[in-house]
Amino acid sequence: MNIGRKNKSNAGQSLEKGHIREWAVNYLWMLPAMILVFFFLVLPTLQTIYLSLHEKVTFSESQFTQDVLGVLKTESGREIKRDDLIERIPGWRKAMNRVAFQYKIKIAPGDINEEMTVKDTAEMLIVAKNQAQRSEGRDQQFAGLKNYIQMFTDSTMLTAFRNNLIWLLFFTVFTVILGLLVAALADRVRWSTLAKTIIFLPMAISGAAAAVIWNFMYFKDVNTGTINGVINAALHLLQKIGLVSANGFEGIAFLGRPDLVNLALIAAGVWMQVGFSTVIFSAALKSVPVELIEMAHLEGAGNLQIFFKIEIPIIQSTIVLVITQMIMWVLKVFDIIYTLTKGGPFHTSEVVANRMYMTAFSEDNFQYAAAMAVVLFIAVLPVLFINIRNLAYEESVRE
Amino acid sequence: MKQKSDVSTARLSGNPILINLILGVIVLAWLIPTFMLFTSSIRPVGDMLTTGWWTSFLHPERFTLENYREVLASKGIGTGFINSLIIAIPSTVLPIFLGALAAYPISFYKFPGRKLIFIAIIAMQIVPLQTVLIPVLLTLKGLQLNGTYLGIWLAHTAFGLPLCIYLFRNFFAQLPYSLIEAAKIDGANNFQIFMILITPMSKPVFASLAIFQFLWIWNDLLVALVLLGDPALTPLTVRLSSLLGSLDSGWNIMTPAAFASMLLPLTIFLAFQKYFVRGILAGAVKG
Repeated sequence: MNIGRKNKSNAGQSLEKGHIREWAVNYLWMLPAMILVFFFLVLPTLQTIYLSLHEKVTFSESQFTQDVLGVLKTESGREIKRDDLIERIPGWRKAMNRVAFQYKIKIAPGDINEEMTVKDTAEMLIVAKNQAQRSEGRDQQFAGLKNYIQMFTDSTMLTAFRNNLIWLLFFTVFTVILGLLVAALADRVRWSTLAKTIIFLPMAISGAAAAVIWNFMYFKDVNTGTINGVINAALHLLQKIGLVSANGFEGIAFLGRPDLVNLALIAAGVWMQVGFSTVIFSAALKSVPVELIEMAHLEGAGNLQIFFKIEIPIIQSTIVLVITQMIMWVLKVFDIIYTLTKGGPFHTSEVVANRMYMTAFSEDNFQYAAAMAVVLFIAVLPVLFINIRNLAYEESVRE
Repeated sequence: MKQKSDVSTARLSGNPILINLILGVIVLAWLIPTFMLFTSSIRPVGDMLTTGWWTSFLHPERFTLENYREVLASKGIGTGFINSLIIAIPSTVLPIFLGALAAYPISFYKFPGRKLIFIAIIAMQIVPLQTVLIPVLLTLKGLQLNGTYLGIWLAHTAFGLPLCIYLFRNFFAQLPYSLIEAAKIDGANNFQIFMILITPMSKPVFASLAIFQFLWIWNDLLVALVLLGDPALTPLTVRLSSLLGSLDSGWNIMTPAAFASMLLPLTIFLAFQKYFVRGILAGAVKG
């Protein structure tokens, strides 16, 4: 192989053939990874865009049954009922062949037997038609931007977009502020390792397990639900001091109330992800030169002043990085919502990722779901460009 | 070590009681949910749904492992645990191995297309899984690999590769190039250089990636939901999710099952926290 970065000028003309062999060897090392990345990431991204520009062809089953009855009527010359046995109808074979030809359904001679009614036969042909369409990929037709337009008129999708924005705002603000706070405080205590470990811990937990935990935390009953129990205890305390008048607190159904469900979910998300921002902020704060802080102390600056006027400005770029990562997380948030509320109650906690999953796999509409996936993709594009630009910059520095 | 203690004294200022108190409250709040799950999981189910977990310490004699016994007896969760392992182990090993192989020429040699490939890798790191899942499912269906372990291994491997290649490349690029030149002069071929020289030096990256990849796949819900149709093959996360979704959610099964599902990742996390933190600082974020 050519010896890389350092001496690139040794490409003599006699080495041309050797070069090509060396390049080929380089590609051979990358081949397995390239094949997988191509077929599972690059190509699927393009396929999703392609899918999103199509719509599902809904094969009208009632129309088909009407057609079957109509053709049978013309062939036999008499009125046909759905529960007539098909083989008793004169000319049925010719009629069925005509319908099959019209709808491009392949039927074998033995497919229709003498026990079947007209209704059974039509149903059988409908199943065959659907299967054939699906396997041949002919169950869709070009629809331009129809899916995208539909998305912005579909009220459930609009709720999902709104909720993603709510997440974007609250989740990002809370993870950044709490992360900064914990990192700054932990920097000043003797048990910082323990504190940080406990804050990081939820990052190792699956969204599904976190959902079990938070479902339990949010129990409505003040005797079993932790959050409601805490609120109840606090109210009791305030009542004793005389700040609140006595009235029985009955507990809040956090996950059942449209006005609270999003914040309740966001709290669980923050619990899971604050560790991430803490790790990064903690490292960044450690890189702030001690001399600067000492100097500020000598000049009589207070702790808060040092934090806001020295530490924060120095780690500004790190804050931007964390915000970017949190936004990326929010755009894709799925597990915890799917497991805790499935977007409910009444679709009030929907997010795009959950809508996309439901549209594809429970409403069976891949094309519409693909359009939602493309919207997510477009939302991350700015980050993609920033990363590539940073890379190009690093490369230019390296060489 | 000396310098470190200097640092902490320099920063240890302000009201230490207030700082300790605020941090203490936050840390406590962060610990309670996990602690609640554990405490609840060792309570009789009757108690669990009538009294708060915090009251259980008044009657420590009522703590029981009965729920765990039931979880072990119910086939679903035990199988889920094994399925999670079957899914996670190859999906951790493969992308790391293939990623290291791919990063080697990208880091050390110049050839046409190198930059383009690396840019593509960076770009693919960002792509949300949602963007690719439907076509991936259709492709696997075409290969009759949907609902098989092989299919999900390949998918997880591909999804993990961009990060693996990226981190390996960043690490390799910092290695002294003279070492490789010297090995070349000594007559070592690329495979020997990779196995004997590069791999041992890159242990920290291998460790970080192994932890990340394993935790992500162990905790994955979406990919398993989409690609593993067969309920017999589903991992713990899918089982937990459907347990919680089902109407007769048995908390006596769910609490120990959830806690058990967390044991392995928490152990790995606590044992290798250093590498976990390093990985995050190096840019390990799931796409």
